[in-house]
Amino acid sequence: MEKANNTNLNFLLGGGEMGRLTREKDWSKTTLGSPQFWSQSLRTTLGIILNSKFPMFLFWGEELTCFYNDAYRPSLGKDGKHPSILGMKGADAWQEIWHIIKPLIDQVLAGGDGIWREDELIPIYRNGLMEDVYWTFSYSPVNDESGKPAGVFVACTETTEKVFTQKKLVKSANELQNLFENAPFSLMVLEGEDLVITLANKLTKAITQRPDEEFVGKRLHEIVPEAIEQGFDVLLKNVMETGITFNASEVPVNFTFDGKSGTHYLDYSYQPFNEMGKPKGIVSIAIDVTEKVLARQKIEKSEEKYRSIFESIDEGFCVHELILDENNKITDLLFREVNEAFEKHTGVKNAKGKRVRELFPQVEQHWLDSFTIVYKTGEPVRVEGYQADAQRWLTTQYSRIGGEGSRLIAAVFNDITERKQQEQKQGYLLELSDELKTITDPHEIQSTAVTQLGKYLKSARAGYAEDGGDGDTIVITRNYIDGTPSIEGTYQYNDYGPELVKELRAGRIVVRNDIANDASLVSAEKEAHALLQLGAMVNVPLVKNRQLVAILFVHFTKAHHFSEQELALIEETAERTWAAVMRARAEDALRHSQQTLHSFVTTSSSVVFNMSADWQTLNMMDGQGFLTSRENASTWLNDFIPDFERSKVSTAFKKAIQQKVMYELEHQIIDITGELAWVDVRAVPIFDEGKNIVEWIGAASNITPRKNAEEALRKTKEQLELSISAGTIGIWTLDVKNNSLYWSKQQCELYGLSENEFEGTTEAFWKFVLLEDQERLKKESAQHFVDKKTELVQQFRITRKDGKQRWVESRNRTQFDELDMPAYITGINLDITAEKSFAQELENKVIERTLEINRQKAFTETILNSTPDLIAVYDLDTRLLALNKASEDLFNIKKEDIIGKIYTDVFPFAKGGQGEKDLMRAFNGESVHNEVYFSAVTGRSYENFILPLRDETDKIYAAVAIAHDITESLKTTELIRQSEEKFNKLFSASPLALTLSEIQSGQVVDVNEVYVEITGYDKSESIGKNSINLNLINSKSRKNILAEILKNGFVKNLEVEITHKNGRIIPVLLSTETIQIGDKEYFLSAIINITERKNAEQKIIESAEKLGEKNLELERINKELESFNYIASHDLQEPLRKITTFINLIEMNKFEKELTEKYFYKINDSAIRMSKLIQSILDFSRISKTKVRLINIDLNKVLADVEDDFEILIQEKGATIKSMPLPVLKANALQMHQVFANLISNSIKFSTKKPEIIIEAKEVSHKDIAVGASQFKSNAEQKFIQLTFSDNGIGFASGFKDKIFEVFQRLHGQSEYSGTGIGLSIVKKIVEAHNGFISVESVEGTGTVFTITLPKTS
Amino acid sequence: MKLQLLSFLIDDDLDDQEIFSVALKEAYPTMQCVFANDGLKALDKLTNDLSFVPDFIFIDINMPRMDGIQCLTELKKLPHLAAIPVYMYSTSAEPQTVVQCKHLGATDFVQKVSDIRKLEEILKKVFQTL
Repeated sequence: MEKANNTNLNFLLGGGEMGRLTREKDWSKTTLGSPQFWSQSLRTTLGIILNSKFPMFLFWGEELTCFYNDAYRPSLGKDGKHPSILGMKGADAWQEIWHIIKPLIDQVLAGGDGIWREDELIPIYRNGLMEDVYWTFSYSPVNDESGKPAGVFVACTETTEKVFTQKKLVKSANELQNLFENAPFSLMVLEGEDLVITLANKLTKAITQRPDEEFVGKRLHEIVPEAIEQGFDVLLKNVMETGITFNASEVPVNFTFDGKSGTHYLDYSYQPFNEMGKPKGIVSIAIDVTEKVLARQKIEKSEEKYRSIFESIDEGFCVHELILDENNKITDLLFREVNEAFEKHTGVKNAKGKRVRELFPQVEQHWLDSFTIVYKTGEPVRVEGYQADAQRWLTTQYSRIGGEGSRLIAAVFNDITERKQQEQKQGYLLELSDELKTITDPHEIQSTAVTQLGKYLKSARAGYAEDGGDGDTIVITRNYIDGTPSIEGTYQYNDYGPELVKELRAGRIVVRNDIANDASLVSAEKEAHALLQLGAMVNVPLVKNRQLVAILFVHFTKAHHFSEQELALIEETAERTWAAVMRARAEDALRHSQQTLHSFVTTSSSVVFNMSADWQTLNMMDGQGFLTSRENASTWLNDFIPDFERSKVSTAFKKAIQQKVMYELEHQIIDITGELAWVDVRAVPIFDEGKNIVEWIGAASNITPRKNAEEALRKTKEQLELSISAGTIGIWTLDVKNNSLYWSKQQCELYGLSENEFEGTTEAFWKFVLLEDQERLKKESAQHFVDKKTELVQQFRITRKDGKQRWVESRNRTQFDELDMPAYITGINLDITAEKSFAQELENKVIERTLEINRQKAFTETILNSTPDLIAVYDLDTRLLALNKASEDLFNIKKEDIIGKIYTDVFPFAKGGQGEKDLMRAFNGESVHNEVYFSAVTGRSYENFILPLRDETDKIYAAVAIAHDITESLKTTELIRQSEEKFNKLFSASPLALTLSEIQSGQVVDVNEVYVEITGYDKSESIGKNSINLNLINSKSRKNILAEILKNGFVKNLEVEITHKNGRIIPVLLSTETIQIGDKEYFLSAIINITERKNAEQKIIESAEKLGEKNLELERINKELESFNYIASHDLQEPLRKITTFINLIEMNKFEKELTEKYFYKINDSAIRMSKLIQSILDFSRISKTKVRLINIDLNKVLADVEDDFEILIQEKGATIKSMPLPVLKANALQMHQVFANLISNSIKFSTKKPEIIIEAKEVSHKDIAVGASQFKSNAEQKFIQLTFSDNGIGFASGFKDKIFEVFQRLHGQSEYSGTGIGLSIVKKIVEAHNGFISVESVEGTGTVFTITLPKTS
Repeated sequence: MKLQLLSFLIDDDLDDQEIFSVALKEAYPTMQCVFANDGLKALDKLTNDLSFVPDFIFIDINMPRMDGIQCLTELKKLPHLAAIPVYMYSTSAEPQTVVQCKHLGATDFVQKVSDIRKLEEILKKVFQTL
């Protein structure tokens, strides 16, 4: 027991509640006894404890009696040990943990060092229950005056909260780690210049094809050396240096993940992140967008397929979009799509995107109205029309694309110009012939012919100039004019110029297409032409019997290029006009003769570019306002491609050139504004016949910069705060005025000095204090003297004599003298190094932890805030817990304003929406993934993930929603899809039958509806089979097709026959070519059913035949008319002239009787002769094929009748007629009679002896009548009847064999033999009218044999 | 010395022979006239009888066996008749035929006309060339 020290109980002064309780406690009942008996060391220690703000506890004496201070109190909780354990025996007070702490206490009391424990779980009873409490504490021995440990000083702090925070932090980090690890995106964090991997998740390892390797801590190039080879290091370093995020879209990479192997498409993002304002590293995120890309590629491929098809086919087509007014009335049409052939066929250039009214302002409403039916009913409409610009005739089929209400109309053009032209020409000639036939006036004929021609050719003037008969003049009686002066009148040949006349006389057509620019004309001639308003002309001469008889001319006021067809038509017209004029003249003459005789005798039809073969020169590019338009640019690579893309681009095109395949690449490009843009570039090689690349045609499309899709990131957790404090107690007293400093023994020990070693001055003290702390201490003291606070607590560092550095806490009080100047200062020093180092360590740890957390936070926030994706975290009540910057920007809200609010309160219209439901699903543990999600809140479309967040007990406490905006990409996909649909519809709606088939197998890949219609095989029957399987094309056609393909590589409008499923043969035009779709080649075949065309052609052939017949008839008629002309001008004139002359002579001889009688006899003779002639001519002219009525006639009867007629003559001449039995024949009875009569009478007439006539008949076959058989269209089976008439008459020289049948070829003088000279002509004409022919053999003076061959008809 | 002038008409039409002789008598009474019924006969006479050298030769065009144009062609091949004027004598005088005959060596064309007095006038003009 200590002896009572009652001088001072000052040590118990202050100390707050515990000070009070300690003072008030009746210590006499304890083993320690009353405080006045307490040892100095206990007193000092308690003084410190009670006045310290650090939680402190003291076990003292044999019973380890408990003391503690106010700061310690909270650790005892409520309803616990406080205040009962004050003064209690340690073993009683800490019963529950005595087994833990007793050994520690014993250790310290046994003279061991102090003990330091950190975050140790020591559950204690408090707050009414046993609680898990974590402690960080130190046990230090407190020696009594004997220098032996008498108690244990405990400085401690409860770290329960810190430990829990740390645990939570760890859990949070684990959670994040877990989330990252299994995220549906690849995440990798690279730090430092060496690109050390500090994080890499499962997908990252899969992508780099190193699923099992440990990444963290290694440098990127160690793990993924190929990344360096591919230039990624440069790229990454660039990101680090510039701080600019790098994005790449849809990069194909091969790897296996989730069991799916093969090519995956990834959207990459490299984002820099900073720490303390300095670039620290890169967050690499890659999202697998394979499914999206594949879906789009599929559509693109399909779209490309149809587009290729339509660009390849030779039929012109376009897609119109109808423009409607509010009443659904069509006001205009827009050209949505056109193919190359469209321009070719219609002559309309660059129509795409333009409106019809824009291109053809004069278009009439009724034309637009004609689309109403197509639009409303979907019924296709077919229109035929002439395209003046292209000078083509086209049929156009308009069909609606899509169902009711669709405003897209497909138009497919078919060029029918050739057919039309032929039809027109035939029609024109037929009409001309028919019209001219009925006209009798030669001038009217000329006028009609030139008017028809002029109108048909749309010429300014046309006329028919006839030779004046004198070889000098030429007469234009009537001409056709259209806006030009008439040039009717008589002209001198010389007016035409000698050269022109020379050409014309030689029978050569003179054509001047462009007189104004004709180098062969002198200016005077040009002036003369100009006077007549001549821009172009053609002169067709008609030369007959080597004489120029007429010129048909056609004039145009402007230059006009006469086509072959036009010239042929003009020539034909000229010939026909001449023939018609001649016929009319002959008829006229005949009519005139008849009239004269009567008077005398009695009462008659998208940015495209073009690249040279080697890609060195950009030949042409129309930039479309997106890129700069260029031509012949050899610097395009530098101009358009940013440097980091150049090698990629050149590698790609070199590959394409080498492999002769399509070039396809997505890369960045410098756009017209100089900004970087992403493009999808495709180019196809154009080959020559030798399969050498000639050039490339390509297209670059501006692909909407794909978003760097990203994934969810976490909720962050908060920091912790910690504080702590703790010391040997030294006592000192300063006599300020005498500068005398007293240090106790403990104080000296504290400073490493032995007792009394201290010099006793303030200067000696300052030597120990670390320089950097001195100034602060002095300042604090000075302030303290001013403030005059009761106690000054200072902490500072000292360097002990042994050189060790310690932390010391000083608590001192100052006594002031009567002048208020400090007189005495008393204080204690406590070594608080342990606490300090603990606190320091703690602080360091907190700083370190905070840094780590901040880093993680910064990193997380970098991800969260740099992503354009929307990220939000909701708690189970759908309260918004976190929101990233993109969301703030989009909703134009501040995080602070909405955090903690229920999200449907913030966005009321999202109530009951899918978003809310998806959240509930996530709260139920489901990972929700919507490939397309339309947000009512933003009005945009997203791909989104809603993932549950779980705590350590796996309980869901929140959900994170990540939404990636795919509106633009959807739009693109939708556009492609629409385009695909459009082309697909076109494919199926095309009026051409189309098939797409594989090259090797010939198997059909696709067919359209028209194909099904034409062939009868439906889609399912066609696809997968080839034409051989279906027996569609016969072997001959197939051979032809293959031969063409082998020869040219394609087939163009080859006429073949296909066999319909029902066996019907259908004529078609087949075109086949190879087209490239993606990287595969196919045959695209277009089949046009030409049955209709064939029919039309047949019609043309028929009409041509008809025309040919007409021409033949015309020729024959003309020939006859020539004869008639001759007859009218000669033979008929003769008797007329004689009659006149003889009347004349009668008058001259004054009606002298004898002479008058003689002349009247002669007049009568002439009149009879003339009437016979006219009768013969009439007979002759009446014989025509069309008029022959055929009946069965018995030739024996015909012969008998003729013998009857010539009875007298036969008797006179003593003639004999011998005949074998003759056959019955289908013929015209009267005409046969005439044949027999004419031949028999000739035989009787032209004879000097008694005529002997022998008539024979026999049946012969085709081969027996080689001569003249060509006239018969009949086949080899045709049988003929051959009749021969032989006589013993005078005969004729063989040279006259052909002449004898001509009209008025009398071979014998009128004086010797009578006859009109027309009989044999009639015979010939009758025989020919019966489709037979006649020939003659004769020996002069011996006799003649006529052979008539007639077809035997049944 | 030849005092008697001689015309030679080649025509198959007997009526025309008569009409020609009537007109000739009026136009040139002292002129003698010889006829031939066709071209072959005329050529026979002119070739075989070299003493028969007419002062004027008239040839009808439309004749059997050998027509007037053939006859003219053959006749012009006879050198001793080269200086003798040959007239074509025909009903129709189509310009083409006229040109053709002149080209073949005919002096001129005498048309068979209805009015015998006109014929006389024409013949007078022909003989004025003497």
